[in-house]
Amino acid sequence: MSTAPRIQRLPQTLANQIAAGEVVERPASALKELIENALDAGATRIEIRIEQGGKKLLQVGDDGCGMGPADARLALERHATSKIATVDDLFRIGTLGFRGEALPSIASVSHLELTTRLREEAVGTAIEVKGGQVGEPRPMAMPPGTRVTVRTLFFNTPARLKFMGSDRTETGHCTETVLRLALGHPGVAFRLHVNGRETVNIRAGEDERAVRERLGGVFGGDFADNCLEFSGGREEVRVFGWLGLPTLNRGNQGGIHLFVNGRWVRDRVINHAVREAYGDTLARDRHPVWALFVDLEPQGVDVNVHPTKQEVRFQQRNLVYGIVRQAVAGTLATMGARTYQAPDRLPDQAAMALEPEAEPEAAVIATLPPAASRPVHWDAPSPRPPREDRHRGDSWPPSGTSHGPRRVAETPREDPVGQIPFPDLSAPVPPPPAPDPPPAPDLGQPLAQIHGTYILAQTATGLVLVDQHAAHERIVFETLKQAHAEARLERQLVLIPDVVELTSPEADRLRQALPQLAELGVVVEPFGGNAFTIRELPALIADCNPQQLIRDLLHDLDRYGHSNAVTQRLDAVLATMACHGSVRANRKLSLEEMDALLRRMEQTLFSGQCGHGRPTYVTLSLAEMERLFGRR
Amino acid sequence: MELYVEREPFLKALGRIQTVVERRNTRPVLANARLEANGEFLAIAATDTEVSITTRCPAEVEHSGGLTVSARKLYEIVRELPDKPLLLRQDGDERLTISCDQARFHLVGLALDQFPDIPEMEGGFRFSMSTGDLADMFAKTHFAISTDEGRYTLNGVLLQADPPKPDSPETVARLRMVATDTHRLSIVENPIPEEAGRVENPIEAILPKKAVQEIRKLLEEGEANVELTLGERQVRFALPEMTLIANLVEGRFPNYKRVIPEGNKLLLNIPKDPLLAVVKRMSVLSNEKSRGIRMQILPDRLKVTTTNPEQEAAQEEMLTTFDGPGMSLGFNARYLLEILTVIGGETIRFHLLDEDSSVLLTDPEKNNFLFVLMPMRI
Repeated sequence: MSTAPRIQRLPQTLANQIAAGEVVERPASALKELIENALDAGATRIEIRIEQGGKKLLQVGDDGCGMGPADARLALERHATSKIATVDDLFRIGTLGFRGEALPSIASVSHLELTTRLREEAVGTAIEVKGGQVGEPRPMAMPPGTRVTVRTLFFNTPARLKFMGSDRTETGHCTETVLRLALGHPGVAFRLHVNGRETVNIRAGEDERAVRERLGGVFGGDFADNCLEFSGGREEVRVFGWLGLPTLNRGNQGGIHLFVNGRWVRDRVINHAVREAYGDTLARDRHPVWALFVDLEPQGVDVNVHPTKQEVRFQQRNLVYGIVRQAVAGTLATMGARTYQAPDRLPDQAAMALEPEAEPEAAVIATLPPAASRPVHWDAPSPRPPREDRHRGDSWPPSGTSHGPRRVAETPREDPVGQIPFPDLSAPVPPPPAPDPPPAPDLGQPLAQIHGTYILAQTATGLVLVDQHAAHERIVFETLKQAHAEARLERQLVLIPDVVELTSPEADRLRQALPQLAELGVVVEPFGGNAFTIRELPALIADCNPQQLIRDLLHDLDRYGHSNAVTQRLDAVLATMACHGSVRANRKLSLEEMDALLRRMEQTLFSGQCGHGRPTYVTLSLAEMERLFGRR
Repeated sequence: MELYVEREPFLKALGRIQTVVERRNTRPVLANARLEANGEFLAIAATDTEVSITTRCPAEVEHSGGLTVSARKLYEIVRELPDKPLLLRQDGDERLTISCDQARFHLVGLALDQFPDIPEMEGGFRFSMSTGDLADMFAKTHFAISTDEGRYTLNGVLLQADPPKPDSPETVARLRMVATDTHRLSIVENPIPEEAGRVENPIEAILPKKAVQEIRKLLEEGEANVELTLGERQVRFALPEMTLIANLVEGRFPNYKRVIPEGNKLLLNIPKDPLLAVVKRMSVLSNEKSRGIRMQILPDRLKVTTTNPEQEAAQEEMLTTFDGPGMSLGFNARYLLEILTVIGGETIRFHLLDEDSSVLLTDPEKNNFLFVLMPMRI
């Protein structure tokens, strides 16, 4: 007698619920899938409504292409999609979605209503799904497009429901999702209603104001005035975006927004490339704030890595790394001495284009944490400026014009201490087009030294306070770096070479990196099998532990495909020398000395922050002073 | 404990133990010196648990006893006192009163039993040596100790007692000291007096850097002889008034013998003091961190040059004779200076092979030490 089979095929609904566990983690992830569907449908306006953090209601309406009754029925089936048809399509994905999973997954854990109308049809279709049970399509009068209404999300998965945050938390996540997607799709207008009240209204358009609105939504109101716009790359890989000034930094990676072909993703290789480009303008434990768009041929990137599609794999990750790093480094080199300046006015409500009746600050700006590290903030304790103030002329992209008259400055040079990315780039990255000479800030005429530590200077537009030690340290550091980059590389030969035993993949990685290492002065020779000996070291770091150096190097190569372990150590030595060789606090300076320091700051790269990422100077404009005294 | 001591010998004894005591300590008792009345002496000890020094000074003991008090405060108090007899009186386990002339100090310390035991040497190979010879051996090796804490076996000086080679006419064993930081190597040796007995098997001990610093200081007092005991885990140096016991670094010292070049046949003799002066002058304009200087060796002269990243340069020539092909070697000026400073004779001899190989440095008048130095590519 045979026993009954123990393995059973799971019912479709249960399979969908399991898939939902991966794709739909919380209301915001369902919202992301729905908005991405709308974007893939070619929408130009997207209306979003959420109630109780999305737990009670999530609704996404669009004016996209819509679906006919048969398609609408099919769209609720698992693995049904119009976005790909063959395996080949999977490797050149041009749409945000492709798995055909989102809608049935969401439908399996909620009460879902899909209403949709093709533009050429007179009437639309409505289908209701309750916990995965698909109802019959019925005709419905509606404008062209699609509207998905999700009620009582997770009603049948109480375990998941328990892990939901408060309404406020979930609302925050949903708002963040909307703002993030809006930043990636400038051609689409977004409107979000929370509990019946409009909190986000972003116009379509790529003009300066529209871009400011979107940046302000994601980063907070002060970002637009404290960032550098950039674009670079080449035909196959284009990169563009906005880089926050190093002094506008954060303690976590929350200020990092990467879009690959319009899709918001996390990618540690690109994060690392950008972080390395920021280099020593930030302390090691601080993170820059940036939005970066990478556009490349769909074949060059695999998005089918993770169900929520928040990870991608680049076919030529070294090429992408090199392009991003060079574009970012080249842009930062144009920054000169710019440093974070607190907004001249309260957050620009106009930038958010909120309806006048809507509560202004509360909505959008409060949803994202502000920059965690704010340098000195001389904000006036005055009431909000009158509404007319909002549109005061701000140049876009932000340039040095608000910092006074331009001065002729040094042409920025290439990355100083030959940081050669390795292993070998599969193709040489062309140098970025020479950026315009940075608008040198005007640090004005020194008036006095305060407490033997700060220099007070007067500029055309206000006053400047300079931290003399931090500023001089940066100047000495940059001078040392330049001198050492141009000098011969001195190498100490090793009498008793260390032998490092590696695993075989590590050995392969190291073998590939040997020529680049030698160029940096680290001569490593194979020593049979997977062992290596270290024969020569740069004389500056001859006392370092070479075993540790090789380990760090391999760790970086494994994780990021690149390593700056050698240059980091060299820079650390130079930074120590710079610190010892610069004027300390409590050293009296004459006016001539102060003037010389200010003029050198104006000509030194990155002089806006010291080696630890703190600002070297702060400004107080006349306008701010006037407000302090109640004159405005 | 109650006793009288003279200020000067007391201060001298306290000075010997000062640098053993760690200023910052998680165990407060390690900041203290142990004081104990012992017959006609006041015995003083300090330890960081790795290196311990015990010493003494003559005392007129009224009552025996002992305790521990802050080594630093005690030293600073005694240093500032007038040159008059001191009365030390213990109150209970932890309190000490110091009286001198019109001054009184009340110190609060810790009881004697809080102090860690200072290890006793058991067994080991024991012999005496001239203090001057031992000090000279440390002087010729200590600078080459590696400062990289990751290579702990190089963070000290290797002490090696070797029996005479079976086929050699020598009958005495030798004490050898070796130090290296992987860029250079120092070796120095001296005979062990015959009465020490036979060394059956080679003995190796790595003396940690701190112990080297401490014993060098104690040897400066210029006693005639020092008694060494090389044990399995410890080394003891005993002088009449003081004893240092140090735990050894565990692990094996690298095989230094194979990096001593044997084929360096090209010889260059240079007057030592003039070369020292030239290297000092040139190094002023070398890279302040890597200290590179170049020695260009020509048949009739030596040309020393340097440049730094600020584009400054210096050069100086010396008359020398050299039979080999002209060559140019880079060196870390600091490494050269450290060697030139401890070579006693009038001449330094460079044994050369080529521009990329290690260089052997010796004194042609003496054959009990040598240095191996790796050049720098400049």
